[in-house]
Amino acid sequence: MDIFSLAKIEVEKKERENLKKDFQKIVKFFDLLKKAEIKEKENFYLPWLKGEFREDKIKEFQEKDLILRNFPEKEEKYLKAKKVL
Amino acid sequence: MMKIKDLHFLFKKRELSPLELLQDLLEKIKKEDKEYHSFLFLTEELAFSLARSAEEEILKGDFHPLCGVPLSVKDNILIKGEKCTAGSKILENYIASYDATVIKKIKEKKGVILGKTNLDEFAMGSSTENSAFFVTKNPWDKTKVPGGSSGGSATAVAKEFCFYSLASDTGGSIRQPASFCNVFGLKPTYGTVSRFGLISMASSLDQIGVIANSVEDLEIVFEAISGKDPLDQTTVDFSFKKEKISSLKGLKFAFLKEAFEKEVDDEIKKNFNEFLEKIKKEGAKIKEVSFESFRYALACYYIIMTAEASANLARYDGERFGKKIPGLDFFEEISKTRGKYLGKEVKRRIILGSFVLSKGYFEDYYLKAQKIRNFIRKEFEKTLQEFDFLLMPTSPILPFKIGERINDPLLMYLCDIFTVPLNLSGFCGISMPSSRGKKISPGIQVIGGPFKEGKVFAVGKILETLI
Repeated sequence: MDIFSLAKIEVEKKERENLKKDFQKIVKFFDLLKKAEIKEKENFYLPWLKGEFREDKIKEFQEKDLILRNFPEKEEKYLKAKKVL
Repeated sequence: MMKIKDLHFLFKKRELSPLELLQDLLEKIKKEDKEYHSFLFLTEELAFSLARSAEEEILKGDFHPLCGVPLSVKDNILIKGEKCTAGSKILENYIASYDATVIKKIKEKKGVILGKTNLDEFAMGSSTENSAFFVTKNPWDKTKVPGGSSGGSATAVAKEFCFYSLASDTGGSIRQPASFCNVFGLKPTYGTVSRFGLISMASSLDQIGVIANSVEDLEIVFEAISGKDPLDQTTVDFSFKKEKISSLKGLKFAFLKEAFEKEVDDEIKKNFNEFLEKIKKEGAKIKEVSFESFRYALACYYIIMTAEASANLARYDGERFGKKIPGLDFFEEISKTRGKYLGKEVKRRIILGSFVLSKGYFEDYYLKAQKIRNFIRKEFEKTLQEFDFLLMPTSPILPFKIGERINDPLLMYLCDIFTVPLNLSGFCGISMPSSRGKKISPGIQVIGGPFKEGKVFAVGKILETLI
């Protein structure tokens, strides 16, 4: 699978070539990290974040119409989408 | 330039009313913003209703310092019933169904929201040239960029279209435009301000902050918008406390050695050096520090940010909201929609993010970046245990010409070398002009430890008297 399909972005051939060129340049810049001699074993974390979860309680959203009106395609109050399976 | 407190005083003495001020400002914006394009659109109906509530509140007697004070909001923060485009074609018609927590807080205090400001699409950029709608101009030189991604907010504040602007800072998006437009910008400690209702770019880096015309104004707004929010799990129990510092005498400032490297413009170096001399004269103790991680910070940032952005932006598929191109099957429809309605830089970042997270590359890029990020945080921690503040320029260059860097993404990313480390660390900082007035001057960053906003504001107020 190519990177464009992985990212779910369809681009035309010309734009694809341009993006590829930028991509190569930027990834080369990212390669700087491979050579980094930084001795750190732990992944990033913020000591002040406790990572607590809230209670798993349903809270009904009262103004559903505001969500419904953003649906690009709908039938009554249902979102209309193409078959996935 | 009038400060929020001065305005509050005028309201108190009934020498000015929020409605009068609103009318004046709308007139000024309609007349002058044609040249600068800081606003994407105005929210007049909302502004009038908030100004009327503010008047009632003022008549009652006791009112909040932000009551009746006009503000603008970067167009990636949701306001119920108003459009929120994030500067993107894909959200051109999207209408927010709820208020961001910061908006809820400002509405409770009867702040007067004038409109939504321009930004680089999905806050991705350092010049506001990536907006899908138009380019915002630098308030002091229309041939130049205002910085980004909150270029609209910074220009609106600089041109005095509003008293402050709420914006977001993922890698410098508040501080860098504040610096380019010669105003003040705050990137708060990660977890002090709720991100609920902010259109996410990179969730571990994004933070809502403020652009204003003085340190005191940043402080008033920060106090009003910060605090724990049950709707944002990454917020912490925090209540802001004001601090007082009477002079710079004996305060310990570290300054970044790398600010004097060859990649940095001579003018920036010279200016930064002059600033250091100035505070030394006032009795501050200054010492050079070098960050071993500095040369890796930008690559580290762009790996983590693109990785997180590629996941966050997966929701823009045209299926539940936004624009959609009907296709043959579900996935074709999504790919076509994203291909047409997302801009170049956004595509670039989603693709890069998908790449650094993909099998075979994940360890070399994403995981390595996570470790370097932790090392960066520790370097900040160590420095700010030893010193009261850390100083560095906000940007390695002065505002550049519109169009000058837009075709070279790496050159554009280099604008962020001094701002991304702070987001990677999670600490707080402000950018302030090095010289006051309606002109371009290099910005200076004053960085403090986590939750040390009070101390940063206190010292910022003294530094402000020196510029």
